[in-house]
Amino acid sequence: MSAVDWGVVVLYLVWMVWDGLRLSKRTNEVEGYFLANRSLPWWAVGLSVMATQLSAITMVSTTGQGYDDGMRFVQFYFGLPIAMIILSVTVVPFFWRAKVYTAYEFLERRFDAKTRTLAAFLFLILRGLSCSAIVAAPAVILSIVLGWNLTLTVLAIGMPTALYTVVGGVQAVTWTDVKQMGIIVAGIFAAVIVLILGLPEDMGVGTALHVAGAVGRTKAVDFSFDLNQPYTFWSGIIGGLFLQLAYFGCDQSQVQRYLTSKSVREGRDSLFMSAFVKIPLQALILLTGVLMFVFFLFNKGPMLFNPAPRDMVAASARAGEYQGLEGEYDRAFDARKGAAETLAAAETAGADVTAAREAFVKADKDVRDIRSRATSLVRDVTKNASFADVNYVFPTFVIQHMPIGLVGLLIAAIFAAAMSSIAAELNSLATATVIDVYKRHLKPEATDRHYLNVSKISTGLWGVFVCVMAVYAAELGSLIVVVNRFGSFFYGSLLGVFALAIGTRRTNGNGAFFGLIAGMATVGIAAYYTQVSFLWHNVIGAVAVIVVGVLVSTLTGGRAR
Amino acid sequence: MPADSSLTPDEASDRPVTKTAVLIVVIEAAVILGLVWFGRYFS
Repeated sequence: MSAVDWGVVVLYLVWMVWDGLRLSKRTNEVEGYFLANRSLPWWAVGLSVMATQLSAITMVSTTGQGYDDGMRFVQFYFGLPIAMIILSVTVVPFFWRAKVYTAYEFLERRFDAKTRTLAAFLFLILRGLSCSAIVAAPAVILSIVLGWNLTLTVLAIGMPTALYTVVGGVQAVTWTDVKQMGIIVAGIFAAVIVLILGLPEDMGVGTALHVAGAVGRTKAVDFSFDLNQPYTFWSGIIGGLFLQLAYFGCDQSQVQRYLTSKSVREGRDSLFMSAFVKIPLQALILLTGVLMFVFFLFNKGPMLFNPAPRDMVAASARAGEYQGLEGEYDRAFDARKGAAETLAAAETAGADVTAAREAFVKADKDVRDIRSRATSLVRDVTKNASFADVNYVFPTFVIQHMPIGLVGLLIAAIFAAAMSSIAAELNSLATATVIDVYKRHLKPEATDRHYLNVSKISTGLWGVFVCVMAVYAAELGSLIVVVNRFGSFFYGSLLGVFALAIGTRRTNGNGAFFGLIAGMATVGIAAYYTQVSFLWHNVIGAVAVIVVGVLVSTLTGGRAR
Repeated sequence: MPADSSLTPDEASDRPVTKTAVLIVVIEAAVILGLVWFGRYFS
C-alpha cells in the first residue's frame, strides 16, 4: 500500500476519533449519553440505522456474493420495507412513549423481571460475540491481503471506535455513523467507476452485463417456493420480514438508534429511510460484485483469492497436485477469456449469440470446477472444512487494481463499515448492561453521575472484551458461523415475545418466558434435523413462542387484570 | 389492539403513515419488478 493510501487511512481514523471526542461535551448525564436526550433529527438517525446494519462483513461478503453467485442475495432484504412499516406503527410509538432506555425494559413493564432479564442476557451474549466477529472478519481479511499483523489490525479497528464511543456516547456514535455512511457510499461508487473504466475497450456496461447474465449473475429474483433454498422471493419476503422485524424491533443495537430521535414521527421517518434506500443500496453492492466478475474475466486473478493457505499447501504432500491445478487454471482462464470476448463481440454486433454463449458457459464451468477442486484440496490439507475465498475477492481487487488514493479510500470505507456497526453495538451493550442488569439488579438507587460513570466504564470494558474475543475469533474462523447460527435461534424467538407483549392482552410472564425458551429449542431442532433454510428459522421461532406463550399463559391463569 | 392502554400510541393510525406505507409498498413492488426485468433482459 502506498504512502498516499496510508495517509488516507490514518487521516480517516484521526478524523473519526477527533469528531467523536468533540461530541462528548453534550453527554453529561445518562439520558444524554445513551439517548442524546431524544434530540436527534430523523435523517441522522436514519443514516445511523443503515450504517449500523451495514458492517464490513456486508461490504466484503456481499460483493463476494455478487462475484460468485450474482444478484440473488438481494432477495434477503425484500421483507425489510414491510417490516419498517409494521414497526413504525407498533414498537416505535410504544418504546418512545414508554420512555424506556432498552427494548427489554419494556418486557418487564408488560410481563415480568425474569422475561426481561432472559431477553437482555441473550442479547448481551449474542451481541457481544457477534460484535467480536464484526471486528475479526475484516481484520483477518485485511491482515492476510495486506500482510498486516492480525492483532494490530483488530486494535486499529476496535480501539479508536471504543475510545470515541466511551467518551462521546450515542451522540458520537450517531454523528460518526453519518460520516462513515458517506465514506462507505463514496467508496462503493468509486469501485463501480473503476470497474466500468476497467472493462475492455469497445465493451459497454450493457454488453458486460449480458456476458455476466449468460452465467446467471444478473438473475435477482427467484419465485420458486423451496424451503431449502436460502434466497428466494418467498424466503425474503416472509422469512426476511420476520428477521427484519426482529432485528430492527427487538435488537437493542437498532432500537436505541430510533429512541434517540426527537419524536415518534422522526423515529418513524428514520426507519422509512431504510425502507426506501436499503434494497437499491444492496442491489448496487451486489452489482459491484457482478461487475467484478466481468472484470476478472478479462484481468487474471489468482486461482484462489485467499492467499493464506498457499504456504501450507506448498509444504504438504499435495503441493504437486496444487501446482497442476494452477496450470489447468491458467489454460482454462485463457479459454474463458477468449469465449467471453467472442460472446461480447457477438452481443455488440447484434449477431446470433447462441453458439458463443454455449462456449462461454462451458468455459466458465471449467474455471469453476478447477476453483472448486482447489478449494477442496485446501480444505483437506488445512483441515479447515469452512475454507472459502469469496470474501477475499473485493479486497484483492481493491489492493491490486484500484488507483493510488482510492485504495486508501476503500480501506477507510471497510474500516468505516466495521466501526459504524461496532460503535452502535458497544453503545447498546453498555446500555443493556447498565439499565437491565446493573441498575435493575445490582444498584437500583444511585445518582445520575454514578450511572454515567458506570456507563462509560461498561462501554470501555465491552470494547476490551470485543477486541480480545476478536483475536480469538480470528483464529477460530468457525466461531463466526456459530455466532450467526445462534443469532438465528434467538431473533425469531425474541420477535415472538414482543409480539405477545404488544399484540395480546391475556398472556403473562410465564407464557413469555417459557415461550422464549421453547422457541429457541424449536429453532435448534429445526436447524439440526431439517434442511430448512435459515431465513425460515425466524418464522418458526416466532410462531413457536406465540403458540407456547399463549398455551402456558392460559394454563397458568392468564394475566391479572 | 395494544396490551396496555397507558402505552397506547395516539399516533398509531396517523394518515401520513398510511400514505407513506402505500408509497413504500408501491416503490418496493416497482424495484422488485425492475430487478425481475434486469435479470431477464441481461440473461
